[in-house]
Amino acid sequence: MKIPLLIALLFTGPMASANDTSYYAVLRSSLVIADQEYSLSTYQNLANTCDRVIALRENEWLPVYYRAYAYAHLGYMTEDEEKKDALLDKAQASADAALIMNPEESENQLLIALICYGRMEINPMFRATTYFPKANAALEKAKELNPGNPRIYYLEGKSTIYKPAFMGGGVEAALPILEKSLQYFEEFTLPFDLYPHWGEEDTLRLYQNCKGEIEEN
Amino acid sequence: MHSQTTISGIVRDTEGLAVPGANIYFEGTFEGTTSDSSGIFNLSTGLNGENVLIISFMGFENYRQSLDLDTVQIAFDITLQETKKDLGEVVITVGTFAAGDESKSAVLSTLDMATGSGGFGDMISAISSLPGTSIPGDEGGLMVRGGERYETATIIDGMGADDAFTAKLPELPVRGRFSPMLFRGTVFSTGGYSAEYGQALSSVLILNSIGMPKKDETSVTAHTSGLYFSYTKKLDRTAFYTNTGYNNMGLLYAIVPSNFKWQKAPVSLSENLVFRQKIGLNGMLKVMGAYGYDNSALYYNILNTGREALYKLKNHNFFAIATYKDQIGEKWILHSGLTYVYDDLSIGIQDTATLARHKRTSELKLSISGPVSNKIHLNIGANLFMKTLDQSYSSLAEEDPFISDFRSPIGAIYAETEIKLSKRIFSRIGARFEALSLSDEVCLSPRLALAYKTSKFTQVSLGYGQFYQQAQGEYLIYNSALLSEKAEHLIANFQYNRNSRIFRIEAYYKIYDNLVKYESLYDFEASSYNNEGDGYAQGIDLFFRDSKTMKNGDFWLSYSLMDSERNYQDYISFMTPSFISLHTLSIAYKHYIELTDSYISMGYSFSSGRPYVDPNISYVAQELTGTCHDLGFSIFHFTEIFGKFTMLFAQVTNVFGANNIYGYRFAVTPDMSGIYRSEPILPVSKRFFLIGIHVSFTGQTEI
Repeated sequence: MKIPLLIALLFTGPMASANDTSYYAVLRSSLVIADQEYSLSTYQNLANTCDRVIALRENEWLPVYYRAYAYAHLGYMTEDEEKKDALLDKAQASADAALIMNPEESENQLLIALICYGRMEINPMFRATTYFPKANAALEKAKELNPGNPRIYYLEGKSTIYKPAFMGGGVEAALPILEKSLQYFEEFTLPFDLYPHWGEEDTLRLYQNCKGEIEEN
Repeated sequence: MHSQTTISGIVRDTEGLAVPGANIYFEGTFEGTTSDSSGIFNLSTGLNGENVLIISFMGFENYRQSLDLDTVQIAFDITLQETKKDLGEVVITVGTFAAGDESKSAVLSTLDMATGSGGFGDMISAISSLPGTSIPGDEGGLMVRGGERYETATIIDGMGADDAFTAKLPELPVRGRFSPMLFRGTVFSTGGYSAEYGQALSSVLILNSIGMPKKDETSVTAHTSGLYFSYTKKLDRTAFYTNTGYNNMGLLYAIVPSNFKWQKAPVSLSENLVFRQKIGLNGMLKVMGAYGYDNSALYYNILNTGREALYKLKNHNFFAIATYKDQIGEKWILHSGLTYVYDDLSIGIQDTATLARHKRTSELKLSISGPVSNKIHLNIGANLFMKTLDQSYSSLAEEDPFISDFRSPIGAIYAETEIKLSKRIFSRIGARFEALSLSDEVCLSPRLALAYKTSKFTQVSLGYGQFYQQAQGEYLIYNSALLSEKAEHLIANFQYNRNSRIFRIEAYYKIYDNLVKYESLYDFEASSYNNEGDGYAQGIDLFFRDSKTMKNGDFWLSYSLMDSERNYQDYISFMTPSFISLHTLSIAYKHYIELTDSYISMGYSFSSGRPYVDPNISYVAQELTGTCHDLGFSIFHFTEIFGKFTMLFAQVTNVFGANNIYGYRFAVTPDMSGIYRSEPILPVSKRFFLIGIHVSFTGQTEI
């Protein structure tokens, strides 16, 4: 009876740290605020919380993921291009770290796509040729890892709206992709508490906008 | 006695301004808060006893203070010290224009290169709109800062590409042989470039070919003067690309009258084969073979006799390049390459004389670069060139053809270090050593550059260098002892780059020495060619680009002030070369129209009068031609035809029909009445236009 116990201990040892939820409460409180209000202060607060958690739990994927997520959005919200690039650099560093910690997670790829869109926005004339294909590749990779992730189709649909018609873009092309995203959102169950859960509301908004625009014409 | 303690305070920077978003927390705990928009924070904690409070924010030094939380009511006024400003990367910008999409210092995008308003698909037209270049319509190519066309070397993947331009006929511009679509990143240097590059007196155009293509593609392009087919196949670690082109100016000259009398309008064929293979973890083998064939025939007026002479040009050009790049260890890069250029030119004059020139150039190169420390980067390498040229001139008047040739091996080594002297100062120090057996000389060229980041957005740079280039083959065949020509550059540059707006101003001074001088080009005697020519060029280049202010719009302006004089070739005194304009201005505006998926581009270029000598007035004084103006317009419309990505395009130059005159040609001897008869040198056509379609059969073309 001693041996199975040892094996059990061997397995539960690392499992216990992988399921370390002691920081969930603090992360959750900042995340809830950020989810409620899309602003520089709430996202900076989220990034700060992640920084504090990472300082004590350096092997946890979740705070690194949310740090990248927060800085990506801080980048989106910032006007000044130099600052925007600097914030996206920070987001990129965390996204790279998140990818190494958890390479099979499709959400990491979505982070990469998010950051690419942010970079592109700064100077589309120069940057679209580099970052658009990069974002696409990340979305494709995410599909390979988890085709059921609704956020893939949310980002794909969103970029399709803004893509010119001759490149296969436009509202008509985007509508079925957003529809698919909404359907997947309904079916999607969070694998664990605090797992990334963004995008549903915006998908619905985009879907309705597209529908409205198509009906108008 | 556990109790809740609240500490509060305000975070400010050294100027007393509030710092919102700062992270305020106790070391070793999750407990913390973020300062609000006024820099104010309130932090309640259940901790007690001695604790360390940390306040951190991007761009500031961490603030740390030990606190005894048992002492109640703590309020703070905290001043954060800014970290030494992160100024961003210091890049040497002196003399350099980067084009491409990834470099933050790029001034031209890939799209600009493909849509330059001067001629569809000729990237040279986009580059020649940068300051420092002359835009002589009868020359083509890149003439930089008082330099001749041959003084600009084209470098592909680190290797010299001789004959990167089509063969030249008198008064007709040359065109670039390579499609911009083959390249991803371009650096155009108008002076003071790295010791890695030699055999160029004025400028280098550095082209980096595409590594692995992104996907399979088949496309067809057809326009009023040509037809092109391209096919790309991408496998896991291998890729293959082919591009076949046929160009014929006949149709265009039938519609738009040409100022030249063509017996056979220019026809050209081109074939590019590209192969890519990834080797190991980081290795990449790039191979390209490019073949080009040109054929044209036209009549020139012989002003002395009043008769016409028929010139027939045929040119076969083959360029092969193989490069291999790999990583050695963690940080060192090995680069090796081999090229071979084969160029056969034949010019027939009036069926009575034929000039046949066979040129072969090969190059072998090996270089290693990497960091010696985190502040010093080293680049060393060696090249071996072999140039052979043989020329035969046969005419009905002579029984035997006049044959001349030479064979010139050149060995070169270079070493260069890039040293980060401080956060703000970056330097590049290098030297190049070349040995030429033909002229029995050795040339040592030091190169220096210094960049000083004055603020986050501004930078000043200085550059100095000596440059040697072997005398041109057309003179070496008569006198193989001719020494290398020499140029010395001194450049000062200021650049401001912020939020997609770039402004730069550069002043330069350039000294030429050992330039080839001769009495007459018709002289075959070695003794009539010497190195006694010299000259100078000085000027100011200005560039401004704004891709921000106008949504979907992009504006740029470049201006060059250029003063240059030389006494070389057959000049009888110091004079300004005929291709120099004192003022050159180029303005472009591009706009993407979302509603119609169209991209329009307008370009205006202006150059002040060019000098010429009118022997009817004086042999030494120079007259000036009128100014040249050109307003060009292009439109690209993107659409789908049968579900295939399609681009329709139209281009027109000289919309207002300005009568541009590039110079005058004079008879060698005066006529009976003592007058040297003359003729203006005109553009090929007053107005050039192009209408075409590009269809991509697989996938969407990424523009």
